[in-house]
Amino acid sequence: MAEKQDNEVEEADQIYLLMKEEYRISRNVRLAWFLGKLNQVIWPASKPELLNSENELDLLSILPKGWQPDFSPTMYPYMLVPSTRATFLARRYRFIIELDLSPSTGIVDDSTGEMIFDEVFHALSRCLAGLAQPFTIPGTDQLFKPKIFITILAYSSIIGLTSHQVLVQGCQLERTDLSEFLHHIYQQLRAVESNIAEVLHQQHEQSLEPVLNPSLHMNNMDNQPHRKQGISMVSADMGLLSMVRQGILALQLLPPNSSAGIIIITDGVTSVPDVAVCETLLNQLRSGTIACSFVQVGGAYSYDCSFGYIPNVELMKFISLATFGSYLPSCPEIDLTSQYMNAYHKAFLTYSFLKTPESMNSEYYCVSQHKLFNEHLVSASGNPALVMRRKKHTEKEVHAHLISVVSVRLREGYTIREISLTKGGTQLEVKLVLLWKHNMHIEYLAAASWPLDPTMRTTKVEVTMEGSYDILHDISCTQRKPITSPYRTSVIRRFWNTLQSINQTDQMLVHLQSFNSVPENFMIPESTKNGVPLFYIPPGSTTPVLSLQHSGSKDSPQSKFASYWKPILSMDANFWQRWLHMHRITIILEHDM
Amino acid sequence: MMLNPSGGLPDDRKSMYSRSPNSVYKTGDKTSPISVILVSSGSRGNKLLFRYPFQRAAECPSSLPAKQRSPYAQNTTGDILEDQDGDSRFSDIILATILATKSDICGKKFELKIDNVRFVGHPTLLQHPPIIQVSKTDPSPKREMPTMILFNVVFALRANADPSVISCMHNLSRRIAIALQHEERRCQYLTREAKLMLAVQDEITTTTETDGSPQSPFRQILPKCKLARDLKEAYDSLCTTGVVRLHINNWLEVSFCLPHKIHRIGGNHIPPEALECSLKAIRPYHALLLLESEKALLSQLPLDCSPAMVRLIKTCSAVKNLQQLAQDTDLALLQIFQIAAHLVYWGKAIIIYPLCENNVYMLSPHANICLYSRLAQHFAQQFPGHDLPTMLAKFSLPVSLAEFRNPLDAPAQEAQLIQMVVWMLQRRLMIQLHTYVCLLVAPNEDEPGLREEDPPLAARVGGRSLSTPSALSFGSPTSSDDMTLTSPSMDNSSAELLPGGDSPLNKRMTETLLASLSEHERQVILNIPAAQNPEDLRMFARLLHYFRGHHHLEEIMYNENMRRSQLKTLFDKFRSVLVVTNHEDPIISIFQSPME
Repeated sequence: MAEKQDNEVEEADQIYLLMKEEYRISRNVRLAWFLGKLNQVIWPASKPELLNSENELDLLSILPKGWQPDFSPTMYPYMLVPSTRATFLARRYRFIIELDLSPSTGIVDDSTGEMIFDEVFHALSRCLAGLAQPFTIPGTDQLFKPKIFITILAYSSIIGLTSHQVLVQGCQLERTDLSEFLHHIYQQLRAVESNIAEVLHQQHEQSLEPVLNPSLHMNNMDNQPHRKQGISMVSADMGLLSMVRQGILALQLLPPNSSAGIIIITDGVTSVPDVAVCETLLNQLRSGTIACSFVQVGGAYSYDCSFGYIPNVELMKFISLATFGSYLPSCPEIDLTSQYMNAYHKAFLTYSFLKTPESMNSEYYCVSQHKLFNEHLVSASGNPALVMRRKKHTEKEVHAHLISVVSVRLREGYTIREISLTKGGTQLEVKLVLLWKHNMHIEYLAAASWPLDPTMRTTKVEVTMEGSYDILHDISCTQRKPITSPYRTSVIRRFWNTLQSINQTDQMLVHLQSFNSVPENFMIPESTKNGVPLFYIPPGSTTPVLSLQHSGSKDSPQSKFASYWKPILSMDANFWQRWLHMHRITIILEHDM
Repeated sequence: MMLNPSGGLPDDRKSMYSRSPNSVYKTGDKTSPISVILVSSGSRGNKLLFRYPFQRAAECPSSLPAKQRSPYAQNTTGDILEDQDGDSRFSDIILATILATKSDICGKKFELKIDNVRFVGHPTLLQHPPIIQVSKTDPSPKREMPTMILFNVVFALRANADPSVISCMHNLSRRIAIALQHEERRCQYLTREAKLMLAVQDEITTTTETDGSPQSPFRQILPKCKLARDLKEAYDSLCTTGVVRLHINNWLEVSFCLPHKIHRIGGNHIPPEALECSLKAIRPYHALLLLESEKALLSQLPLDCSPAMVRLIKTCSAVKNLQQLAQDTDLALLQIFQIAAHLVYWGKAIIIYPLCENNVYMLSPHANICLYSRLAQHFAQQFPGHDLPTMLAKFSLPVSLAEFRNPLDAPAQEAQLIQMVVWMLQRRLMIQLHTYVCLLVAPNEDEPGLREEDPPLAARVGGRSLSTPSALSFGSPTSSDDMTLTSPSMDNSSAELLPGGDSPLNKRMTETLLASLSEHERQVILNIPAAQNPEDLRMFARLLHYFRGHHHLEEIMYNENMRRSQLKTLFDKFRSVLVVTNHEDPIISIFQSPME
């Protein structure tokens, strides 16, 4: 790295920042702060500064390389370098905790010797106890205790349960007496459980009736076909979807201007119907900047587990990584006397755009599970089928500023993989990556000359796809045998759509950035000023059409104005969030009679 | 599911029952439990709540089904006489005393051997253990303090039962105990069932006293008590199929399988350790062969099972390898492996090499080749116009599927051939042979002694175990890109790898690879005419570590992304130092022919 020899300032390895409470600090602001201070000397804010701070972001602490938790806090200046890992903390959080109580939790977990149903409650108690615990941010000595609002939902795939599924709504965690709170939840969970048991019980007895009467010889399997009747259930692959959707809705009922997260406590026996649904779900989460985390109960996979109940670990890892959430394979017991950040703080309260290479590399995550099971899956290098390969898709120049190019991508859910200064410190490279599927990524490299010049509107962009050989072959090879699997076809089609949308987004960005380049774009035409609508939407159509009054010559100011604004008007409402600041206003209508 | 050639597929399970019971039990003798016993300990002392099979069965001639199920309850045949000292000589009171343990060994494995009987269980405390923070304020009912303090679901096994059977049975006992403990805490299920059982026992004792005819009280318990029926069902399943599926209190699912029963070919079972080894060695080029129809399998799945499993079962095919399966189902390869291993363990599938025309098959030495077996009947029903013995005869000698191909045949006939091969593989009537290659250089006649001192090739060429992924072991960055060789679309990453002729780099690499050989071996190899072609020599050197007889042709093809013809040509060019053998793939052969 380009460290200046003449100063003695050390490089910062890790920094902790605190975000303002009054409004949400977008991910762009966080990145802009980082890029703005890059290669500069930074100091942590002092206590009085923090108390009276009006800043959007306050630097709480800086940790040098080799920092140990027992080091006393320092106020020394450090240099912010591209490799510095920035961790952002909020003053306010809101979490929806979803308890997955689908029938698959009614089995015994051999590893702990408990019913999985019971483990869900233990996991919840540990998560809440961990979160509620105040902690010192590394490198500081004062206790940090953010406001945490939570809603707890119980999910069961059985439709029509009579018990309440919202166990707690909008509780401020750090202000409650935890043991009483947990007791209250425990009672409610018992009610839910009894309700589930009753439904399953009835349904099981019905199905057994014809079998019981004759000789007791009957094998259990013979009555299986009957069993599927008489109970309405959400199919297991829609379970996750319903949980996340409920979560998104419930988040809107919690205080805004806080970091949002959904924590799903589940046995992982779930899935998503197909890649299209998964993509939609991710887009919903990303556009709401909701981190979706998973806490797994029921222990790691073992092939001799109860028949039919195999957790889908890869899916949980993928969704959590792709939405800046966390995946906890188990629920560690925490030390209530410790003031260090515990596993739950780290998993649910921190945000950092620069994921460490290990966490980005999904295979790293799997190692422990693989080792238990099949060593061929341990290292990709040992299995040619699993090695991630790269193929360049496009390379182009986008006439927009690097910060805005990157910020649009961040809003789409891209993660920053690497920030580096290349070409002897004259070029800034920001490598972003979109986790598209558990084994497919899109890398988006944006490069511009350094230091950034606000007037320079040119960013070099390179798009690379990453995936295993077979995936890339499916995507890029046109001469192939026809693919019959609908899942596979859907993956290929969706992936191409995503690649194409990258281009469209860049074009849109350039278009928006050209706003102040010609006065016609921001001068409202006379006729419009006089109240003549510029566009109208013909009946039965959704696309705006230019009013006839304006369709003069192509070069008229009206038509230029119209051609600039038309793409903006016809933008898909689902994507507004990428370009605009959005505020949701909730209105409850009341009968006026 | 018992899958022996004579038993056929589970769909003829019923007909299997119709055979003489002894033939069923003979195979299961060592692994079947002798009995299942439920005991409890509480304020009213130690009680034996239920045991099955009933004792004194001979005194109850009406109990035909029970007699058939348990050889130990009968004393009519000589076969069973020797097992007379099963658990029948232990009275209910003695069993209650020895199996209802002290509370301090609860929550642990319980194993007790008395003479020929080994009792395995998992004694479990009922008093609410302090496992959760809220337990002190546990809202679960305290209306009636449970009079029961602990209980134990015990399986009596033969004393010489395999340790793996013991551990499996302990696992089942533990699963049932945990589910019961949970239901007790939730709604006093166990207390209620225990009361029922004791009430019937008391009633029978009184009636026996009055009318004098001894009768097993446990028989009367069965129709009244769900738990007793569950335990009986567990015992019956263990003795027959080895698959137990219970719903404790009609909702908590306890499923278990005894691998020793399920994985059975002829009279042999596949030891669980061997099964584990094979499951750990599954590779992406293997395929999953379902042993039952898609419909049958799907109907066995629990209501809320993994959706990925349903998807896999629907997509699975004997011609698709696991990697293709992962793509076609849009699931992670790891997940595919996990589900595949799970299905294999539960006896629903086996691992094979995917069917293709180059596969060489041969009649299995364990195949039932009787002319009029039930299998033959089945086959004739399934494939009208064909008969099994004729079909099997075609595989008397190793034969590749391509040899059955007749260009004049309609495509439907080829499809039927595939179906027949699949059918025979499902019933383990055939084994597959793979080609393995071994480097064998004739010893130097000038220095006869030297040869012996050389360490074996395997030790020198890395000495990696079979299960270690060794394809890319030379650490060259290029070798990992081998897969891209055939893909022109990705040439930017694989350019350096395309056979680049006789560049100095290639030459050096070849030399490095050959360095593991002895001087003599190197000389012999370099003197082969084909070695004069640097490209051939380079390929030979690159594949050298496969020539230990541990990697079959298909594995080399998969790892190195090469064509069969390329490899065959190479083997031919270097045939003077290569020995080509054909035998089974040890990883999957245990599914086709178990160890003797």
